[in-house]
Amino acid sequence: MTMQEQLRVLIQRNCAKLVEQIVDVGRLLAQIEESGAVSEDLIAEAQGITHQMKGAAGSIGFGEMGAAATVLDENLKDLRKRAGAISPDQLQATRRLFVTLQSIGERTTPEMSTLYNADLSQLAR
Amino acid sequence: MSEKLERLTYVEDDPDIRSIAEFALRDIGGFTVDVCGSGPEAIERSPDFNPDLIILDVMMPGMDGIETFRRLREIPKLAKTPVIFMTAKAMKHEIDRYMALGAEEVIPKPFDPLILAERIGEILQRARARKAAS
Repeated sequence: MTMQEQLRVLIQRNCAKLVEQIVDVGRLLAQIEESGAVSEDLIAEAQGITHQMKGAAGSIGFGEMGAAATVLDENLKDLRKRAGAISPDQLQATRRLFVTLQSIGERTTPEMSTLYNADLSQLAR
Repeated sequence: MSEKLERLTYVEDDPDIRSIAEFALRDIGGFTVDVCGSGPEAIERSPDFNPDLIILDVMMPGMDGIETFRRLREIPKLAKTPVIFMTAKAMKHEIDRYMALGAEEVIPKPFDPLILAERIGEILQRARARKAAS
């Protein structure tokens, strides 16, 4: 397998994982919204995922997804600090940021990675 | 390009980031890389692996990168091995803190895998030049 092919396998694997992670964050967010009493554990779990996403998405060439994950990550960090005293407006703001991330995830394909067509031939040492 | 195959210890808990960086360092960069999923793993294996440079994530469950750095520094063989922090926690005050601890450099996440190896090579050369001059 060439380096280019290896990189494409990595991109495809990471793209699929990022989409799965968006689903996981959505599930957690729904649980938070439904629970009434806001659970710090659920927020922490969601934030742990968005933290992973911002690093992985940005590093594998999905800059737009990485940026959206970063904004949601910051929002969830802020919610963690307020856990127990979160207003419906704050939860709605979080939901809007999630919907943005979700819509990016729905239209993202491996080929959209900025690394997908990268010329690696000049890079290998 | 260097004359010998440099050895890197790379410590990162996130398997997705690990796979990208490992590709960049090993396949693109040609480095010999010992990939560790945690600080304790790095502390256990690094004395035998004897890396030329260590790359540390900061936010890791259990022992974080800062504590790992301190423990690695207590190992005589690794006390002067250059350490790079590769982290999303890279605000100016955070970078200043890592540098004050004795880090060789800080690489912010997300990183560009296409230039990561080149950057590591430059940092290694700079560290060697400084060591030779001292």
